[in-house]
Amino acid sequence: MKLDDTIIAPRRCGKGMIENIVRFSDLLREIGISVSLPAVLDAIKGVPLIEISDLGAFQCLLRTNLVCRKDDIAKFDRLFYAYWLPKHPSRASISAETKGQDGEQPTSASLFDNMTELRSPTDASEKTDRPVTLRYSPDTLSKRGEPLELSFAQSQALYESISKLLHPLANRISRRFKYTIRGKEISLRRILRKNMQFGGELILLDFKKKKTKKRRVVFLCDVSGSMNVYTLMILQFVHALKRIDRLTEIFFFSTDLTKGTHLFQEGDFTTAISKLPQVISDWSGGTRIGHCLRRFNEVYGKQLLSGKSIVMIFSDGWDRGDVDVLKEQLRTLRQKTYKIIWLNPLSGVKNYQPICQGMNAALPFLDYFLPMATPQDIRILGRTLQAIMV
Amino acid sequence: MSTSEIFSSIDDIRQQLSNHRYITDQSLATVIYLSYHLHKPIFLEGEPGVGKTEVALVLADILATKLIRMQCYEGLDANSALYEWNYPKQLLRIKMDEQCNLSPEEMGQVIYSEPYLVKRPLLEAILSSQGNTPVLLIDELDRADEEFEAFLLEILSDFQVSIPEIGTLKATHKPVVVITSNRTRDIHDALKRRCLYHWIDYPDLEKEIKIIRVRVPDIEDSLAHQVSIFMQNIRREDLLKKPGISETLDWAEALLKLHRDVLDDETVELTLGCILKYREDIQKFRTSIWADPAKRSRLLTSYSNHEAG
Repeated sequence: MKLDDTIIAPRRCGKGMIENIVRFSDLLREIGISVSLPAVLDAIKGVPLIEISDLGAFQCLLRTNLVCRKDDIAKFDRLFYAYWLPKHPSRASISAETKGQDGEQPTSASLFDNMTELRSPTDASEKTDRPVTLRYSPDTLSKRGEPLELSFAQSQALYESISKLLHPLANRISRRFKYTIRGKEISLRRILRKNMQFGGELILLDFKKKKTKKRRVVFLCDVSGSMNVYTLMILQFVHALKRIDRLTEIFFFSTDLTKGTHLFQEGDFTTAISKLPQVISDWSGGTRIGHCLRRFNEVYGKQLLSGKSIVMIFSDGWDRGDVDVLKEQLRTLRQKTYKIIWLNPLSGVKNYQPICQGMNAALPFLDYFLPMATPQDIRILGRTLQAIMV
Repeated sequence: MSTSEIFSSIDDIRQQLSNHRYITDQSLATVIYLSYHLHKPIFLEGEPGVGKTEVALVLADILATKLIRMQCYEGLDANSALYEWNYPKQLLRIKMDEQCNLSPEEMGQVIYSEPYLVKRPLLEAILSSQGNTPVLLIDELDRADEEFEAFLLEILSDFQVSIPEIGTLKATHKPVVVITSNRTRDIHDALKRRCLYHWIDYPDLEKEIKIIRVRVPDIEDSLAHQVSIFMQNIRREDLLKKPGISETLDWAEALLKLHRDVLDDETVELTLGCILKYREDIQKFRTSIWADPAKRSRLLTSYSNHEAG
């Protein structure tokens, strides 16, 4: 279903500006933009302030009040023209645009359609039947190599549940001061309060020290041919992690290493992901883990690693490179980091044994060796990180 | 000119901004206009170097008022944002008055009074607004943590603060508040909802040329064109950090200092550091963009195309 004039027209009404603004904000909510009541009130309050015949100013008034995310601006503008200017020429171009969309990487236009489909009242009953979180059957695991088909809505649901999972992490890590009975810095505030009873004579001392610093997570993601199925899920996890902890650094490797942190600065996961294949030249190529780790150690190691960092490597361990190089580089990495976590998508499979060359060589250097194939594994990873991050 | 005259209409604001050498489009002017009249903070997001902070500086200039700036950082807490007692000064006073036999209550009144209060930016904004409306800039909010956001929410809603020893202080005029964020982390919707949201994009060609002319008035028109075209093109490349308007202006200044009036191969190579700030970006530029003759000529010579068109 498209949000075209047949749906919008009955929603418009002739009762004046206020009524129409309220109806418009209802429509915004329906396409997934969260609009609060005070925001609507402020928008209405703003109407007398602007020149109402000036469409640009009116659009800006509504947008600045009702939208509070960059990713929603495009959606807002579309609906604005559809609702307030039913005959606007840009509408024709919108529908033409949506027809030719490639389903793999939803742009904001097809995304818009998806959203309206999901929220339309006609399939409301169907919607309630849908599971909220995504589950994978064991069958999917055995079909390695086939691309993971996730609808936009499912992917969104998964992303939301992952973000929720990470929430405790966001609140625990901090660099604020805390008060202690021993420490390096004297806390004058507390001392003065404590010693009031002695008439200002300083007898009891109090200290403060910094709360434990955050640990940096460096994520190395294998994007070689053998990884397609599971990559999306872990990338969502890392994207959510980057949102709460901006120290997080992201790298991709297969035959060579590519830095990907800047992609994940994008607030919208779909946009971030759609740019991946352009940046990574050897997507779905072979794997040379050792070589890539060496590149990482040489180029980024000094800058990013300290005794406090956590390195997460996501790979199945199928390695075509030199095993000795891999061992040597993992040893170097081990010395420079606090913990190394290896996430293996295969270790969730029944009877899996880490016997392949690369994995076998890597095992002695790892602190954690975790499976990564179901949403449950994400939860385990979240808990593990919580335990070691602070 | 009184402030009400200055902010009487959207076009007027736009004119004022450009008089103060800030070139903008109608939408930002509308947001500023609404913020001023609805008393809502402005929440500005955008890539680094597109002029978010500058908005607050220029606003303070136009309103001829004080700019109170609070730079956010990780670990920023209420004590460094709102107020703190000047403890060393209090201790000294206590020592000095030891012989005076003041009762503890009297002493308390002395040392917990305004001269012993260290005003941090938020308290300063509340107190100074008793005179005229100041501009409060809360810069790079995404660097502070979530606890601080919650605290800010409380302050921004009613601009009052309770200091146990003094009492409740309330602002008579709400300051003009500008909050900026680079989107390194999501700011909670609760805070954004209380603000007027605006996304500042990279400027288009026309606007960028205008900005250069206004900010670097001595530059030759042709060079300003060339620099803008170069920047517009290079932002289309996939770089770790795309250069913003501040880089454009730095570069234009640098070219002026070097007495160049044309952008040629050598000049670009010499001054690359002005626009690209990452080693990876410079490498990528050298190997895959600059080395490609077609791309190179597009970066440099689309000027003549533009002129022809």
